[in-house]
Amino acid sequence: MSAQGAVFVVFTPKIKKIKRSRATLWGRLTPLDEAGSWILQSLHEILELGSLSDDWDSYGSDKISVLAIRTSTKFLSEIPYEMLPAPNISPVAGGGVGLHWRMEGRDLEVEITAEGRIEYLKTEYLGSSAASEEGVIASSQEEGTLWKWLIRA
Amino acid sequence: MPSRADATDIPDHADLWRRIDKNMLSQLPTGVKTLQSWAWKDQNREISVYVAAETTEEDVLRAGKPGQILIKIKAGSVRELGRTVTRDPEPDNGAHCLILPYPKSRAEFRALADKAFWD
Repeated sequence: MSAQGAVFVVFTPKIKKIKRSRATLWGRLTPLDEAGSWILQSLHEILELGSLSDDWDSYGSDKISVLAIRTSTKFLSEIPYEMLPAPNISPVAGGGVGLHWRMEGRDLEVEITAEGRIEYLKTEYLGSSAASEEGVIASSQEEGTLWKWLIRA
Repeated sequence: MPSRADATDIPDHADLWRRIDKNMLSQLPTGVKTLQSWAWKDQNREISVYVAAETTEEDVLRAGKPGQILIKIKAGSVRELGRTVTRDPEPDNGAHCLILPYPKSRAEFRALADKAFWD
């Protein structure tokens, strides 16, 4: 499946007016025009990473994997966008996609690796010291814990 | 294979340049910029830097890709983090060095990012 196709799997169909009963049947689907405005821009940025070629970083990195793009668009589609600012998005050496948020003294980096694994690093800065925790996001519960930490909910 | 010894002729106050994708420097809504830790990540597990005093920004960027920028770190900051600055001259640029050993955790990449600065 192409990277562009991955987006349509997540967000189709785009229908401006949905009868309430149909919205219930279709569950979690969110029309594009109801999603946060930064979601569309962020999805576009991720898809753009798919156009990078091998050695995009000038140090020999593989191009960004289709699996990383597909996984990161799915990941982005499930975050509580109403509560978060837009992430900074960049390619990552090895073929992954990086998402970065910093809010006050809290820094959250999420890397979707070329193999589709979702890894994170959270760092809290207290004065001149920094405390970090890193791991793999394996469940929605773990993901929710990270969002709560980031926004101090 | 380059010698792994720390280049003691590179003083602690020396600026080291690293070429990165411009998107790795995050722009916050406040206008403050912060560096993403994967700016130091390398698929070949060797972190390339250049001794600023021995080359030019143009020469370092010319060897890269469009859209790349330079970030800096002091050689002394690298050493404070328990790493070495090892000479690894390139055919076109004798100022090329490697930061070794390669970080083992994301937190170690983060520590490098926190010591970096830029124009």
